[in-house]
Amino acid sequence: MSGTVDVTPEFLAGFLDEAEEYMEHLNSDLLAFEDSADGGPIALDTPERVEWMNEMFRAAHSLKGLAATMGFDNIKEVTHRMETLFDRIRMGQASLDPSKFETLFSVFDCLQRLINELSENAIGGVDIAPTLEKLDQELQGSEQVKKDATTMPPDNNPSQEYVSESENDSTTDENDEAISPIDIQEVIPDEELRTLFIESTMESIDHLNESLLKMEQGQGEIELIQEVFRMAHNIKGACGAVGLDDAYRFTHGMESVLDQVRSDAIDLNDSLMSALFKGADILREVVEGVRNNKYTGIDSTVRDGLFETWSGDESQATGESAKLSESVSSGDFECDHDSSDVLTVTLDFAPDSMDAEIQAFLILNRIKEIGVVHRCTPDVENLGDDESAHHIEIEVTSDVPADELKEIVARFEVQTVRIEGAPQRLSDPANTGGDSCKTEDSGCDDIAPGPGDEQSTPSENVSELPEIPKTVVKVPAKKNASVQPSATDHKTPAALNTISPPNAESIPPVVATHPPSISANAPESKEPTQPRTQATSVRSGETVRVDIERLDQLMNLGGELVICRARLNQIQAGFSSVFEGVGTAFQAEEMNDNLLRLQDAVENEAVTSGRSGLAEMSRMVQQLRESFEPYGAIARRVIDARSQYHEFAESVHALGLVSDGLQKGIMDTRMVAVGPLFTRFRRVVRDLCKAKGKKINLVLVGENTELDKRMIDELGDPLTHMVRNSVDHGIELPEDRIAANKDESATITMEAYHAGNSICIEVRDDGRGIDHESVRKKAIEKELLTPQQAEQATPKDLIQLIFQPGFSTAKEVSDLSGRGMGMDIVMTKLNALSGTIDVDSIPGEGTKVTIRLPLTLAIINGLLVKIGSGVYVIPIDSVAEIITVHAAELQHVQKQRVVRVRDKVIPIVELEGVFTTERKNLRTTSSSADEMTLCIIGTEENRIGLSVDQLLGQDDIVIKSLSDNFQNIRGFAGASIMGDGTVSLILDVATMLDMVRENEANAQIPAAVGACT
Amino acid sequence: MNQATLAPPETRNPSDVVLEDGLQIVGFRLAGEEYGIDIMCVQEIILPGRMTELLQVPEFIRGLINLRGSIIPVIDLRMRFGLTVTEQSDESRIIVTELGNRTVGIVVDSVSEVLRISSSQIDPPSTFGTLDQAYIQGLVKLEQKLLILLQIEALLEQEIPANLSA
Repeated sequence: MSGTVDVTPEFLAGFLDEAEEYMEHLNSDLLAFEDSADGGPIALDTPERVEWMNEMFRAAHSLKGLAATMGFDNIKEVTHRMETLFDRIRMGQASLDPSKFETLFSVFDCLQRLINELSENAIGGVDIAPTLEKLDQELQGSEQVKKDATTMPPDNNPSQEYVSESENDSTTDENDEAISPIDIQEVIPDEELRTLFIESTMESIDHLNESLLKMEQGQGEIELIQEVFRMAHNIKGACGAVGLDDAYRFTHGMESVLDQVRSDAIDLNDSLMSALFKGADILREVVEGVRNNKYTGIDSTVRDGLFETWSGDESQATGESAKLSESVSSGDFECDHDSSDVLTVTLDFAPDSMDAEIQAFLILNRIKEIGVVHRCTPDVENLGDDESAHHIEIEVTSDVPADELKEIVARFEVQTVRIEGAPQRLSDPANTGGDSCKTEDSGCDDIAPGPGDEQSTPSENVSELPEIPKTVVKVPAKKNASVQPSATDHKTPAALNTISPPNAESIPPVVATHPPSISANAPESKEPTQPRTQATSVRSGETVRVDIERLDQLMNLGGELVICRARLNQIQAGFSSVFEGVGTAFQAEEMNDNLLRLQDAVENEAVTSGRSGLAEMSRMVQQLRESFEPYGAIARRVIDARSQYHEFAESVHALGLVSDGLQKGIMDTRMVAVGPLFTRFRRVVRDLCKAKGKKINLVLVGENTELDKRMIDELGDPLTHMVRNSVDHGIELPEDRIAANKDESATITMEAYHAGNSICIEVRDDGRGIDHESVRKKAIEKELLTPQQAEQATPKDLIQLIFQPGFSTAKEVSDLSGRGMGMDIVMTKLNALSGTIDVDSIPGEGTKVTIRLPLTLAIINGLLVKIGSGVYVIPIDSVAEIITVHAAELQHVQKQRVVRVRDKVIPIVELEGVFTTERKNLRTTSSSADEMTLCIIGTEENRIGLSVDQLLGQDDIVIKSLSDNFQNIRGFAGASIMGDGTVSLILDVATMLDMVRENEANAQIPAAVGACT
Repeated sequence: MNQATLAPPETRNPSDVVLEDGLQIVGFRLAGEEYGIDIMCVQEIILPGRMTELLQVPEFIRGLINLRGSIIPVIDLRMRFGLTVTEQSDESRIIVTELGNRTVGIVVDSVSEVLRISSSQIDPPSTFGTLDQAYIQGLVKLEQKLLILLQIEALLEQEIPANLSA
């Protein structure tokens, strides 16, 4: 099918981002190869070339895995072949001669087109057959060179074979049939409504899937079936509400089957389960289609096929399948009036009932199951915008007696139910008693009121009115009152008829009382309200969906605030020193007073003694005092300023509290439970089990553990690799398990928990574990270790080898795993997330892979160090310890300074030894001094001592990407803004270790090959 | 902030900018020569403050500055153009340019004025001088002097490619 992308835009965006990255690697490495070509075949004889090839292989592999999880089969096909080709080249089984470049570039272009297609959301336009053919030719060519043919069966008609390999038929044959998309904007013109529909329905579908999975395991617990039923029902209601008729009918069929299951009429079996899963998938497709405006309707063949399954199952029990599927798929109501036992069911919903429409659907469905519906007024299944389902009349033929029917209907949330025999339409005055005034109103659609009613109707209408909800009543009541005297009595029912729609929703009554021609406004004002009620009934809890971009923005602003506060603190510190000696201000006042007294005293003395010298003195004192006066004023102002300063300091303190709270609040907002991420793997494991014929029980622990949303988004890929590894390699086949005295069905546990300032995610299985011996053998075979080294290697060392690219002990390569790239990719990804990984395995008992991640990507706890003239941040998680060493403790090994820390020899590294730069500001001043401070950084297996000048402390660091305005620089994880407003670079320890290793290798070629840990 | 934000030399009024066929340029000096860039690329002009030097990058990338919470790179045009590098003076400024979704600062000796020129005043770049022609949009003939109109997008695109994996 063209145009349906079965992933959420979020995933798609993630895919596109990553794919782009891989494509760039492929491109640049291809170009590099071509540049270095000198005509003949290119041998992988330099470390660069080996690295390029590995990188290309890794890129192809990652892209394949990514495409496979997303269901982009075209990309998977191409990259799979590409990967195989690269692998052979890497292994020396195929040559890389210049003639291949054309092919490879054209393959690359084809991939790029496929990816572009996705980004433009218009898939299906690229024909991959020629590309596949080219690749296969290359592969066949290399087949002859290849020594042991295990990976690829040579195939003459490759494209077909690979197409048929893919699991489901839905996405592959895109060129065959191009169903023109239904313009979803026409079906659901209101964008807000569309968004609401998509979100709430997606949620329901997720829920449905989850419950189905549980159901499959627990088989038929009644609450689960209820849950599934409810979800299907919600989805149906939502589809109906937005006018997706076929989806509505589809879910309706699903719901009917579920209802049968619920009432124990049919048993759940595997085929039914599969059909239900398939159904959930189709629904997801529908919603995705709506989202991407590529909705093409539900493929009728698929639908019919499913209905067959469903109703087939049903027929075993009820024998009513034909009726069901007919009414379901056609959606029409038969009109063979067999008036003999036609019952009229009249329903009224509470006027404030939000889900009257849904209930009406439900009731109608239920009734359809037990009888044949002839008429439904208004037509609930095709309810117009300005119609309300609060009052429904259904004519039905059924074997079920009326009171039983009433009982069935009464189970739903209706206000009143009345069931009558053959309808007398409006001629029966008894109908107008009780609630029935509304019955009569609806009847007006068809038949004008009989003359006999003219007298009774108005008066009864008036008396009935108080039963209509107050908000609506007021205006109509006045209208009626004004209408009544004019004796146009027969108009009243009509007027009421137009009133009844507003009962359903809170539309201003004024609009509703207008004749239909004017009430054209009504749909507009109604549209947003109706779906909203629909959506809220689906949603649980009071939550707001927020675009993560906005949260990122908030996070940034929060970071700014923290920085601003740090600045304010600094300013405050500056002030506080100014006000330290402020006591002198008081003295200034005192001085003024003293001078005044002195002047008085001198004057008195001058008067009493009459000495002219004293009078002169008095004048001088006066002058002195006068000239001093302004200082007094200044002193007073200083005192004022000081009290102001105290207030300022208080405010800064308060600001600090607020910004801390805000920061934490924003962080918490970004925190998302890992549950949904984990839950995705239920399906993954299920599908894998089915494909591999294994029995696995997936246990999820700690699903409520929260971590940063961005982190969750990034974790999907590594976790997929880990789980796949477990399923594919870890878990044995059931018969092997029994032979090994284990439970037939294996257990994979995914557990998340907090550990200090980081979060741990464990994937453990009770499979066969990592076989140390075969790792050892493989390592020697691949020349990663010399036989002696292999002999000495501890199990822990050996396990580390699985992180080597291309290292796999799997005997065969499947399109899922086995090439040994998985763990390398996991490792690379985790490094990017500044996480670590730890593998623990006991042969025969199982494997435990633990990844440890910081709580958030945006803020890390960093150690601030001064190196040379710059301040750098080292993520505290990477710092093992900080030591001070004396020059005497240093030793030299092959010109490399090392130091022994508790029996471990740790090389000492200067930052200038890591980064090659012209600038001379990297050298630590302490490097030549007696004492030096070392930060021991890196993983347990690979540690270096980074020499630093000064430790400045530790702080929460807001990470800013360098690539926003610039570009990423190898060795740096980003930059951060310090309290004083300057920028500091954050060291990327993992990459730094790589760089150190590379520098060493470059410095002393030929380097020992065994640099594997 | 270390950089006091100066008001742009002249308020940008959209109606001003879209002259018949002319454009507004910000003139600046570099080693005694006059240059200009399109005002539409200029976000603001700030005083140079403390810069954090980078490693593993070409020398003319002077470092990173904090522009109200954004970290932006600063390019030294003197170094870029191979001119003698002098100490910063009181007149030194950073012209913060906005290109696409990136913000990049360029250090210049001084900012002179905002000029309004018509396209008839612009001569196509000729084959003299040391500057790569790709970066020159043209020569602007003014009454008293000549001014080199830089094609700043081309310059920056070359120096800071969108996604260079180091």
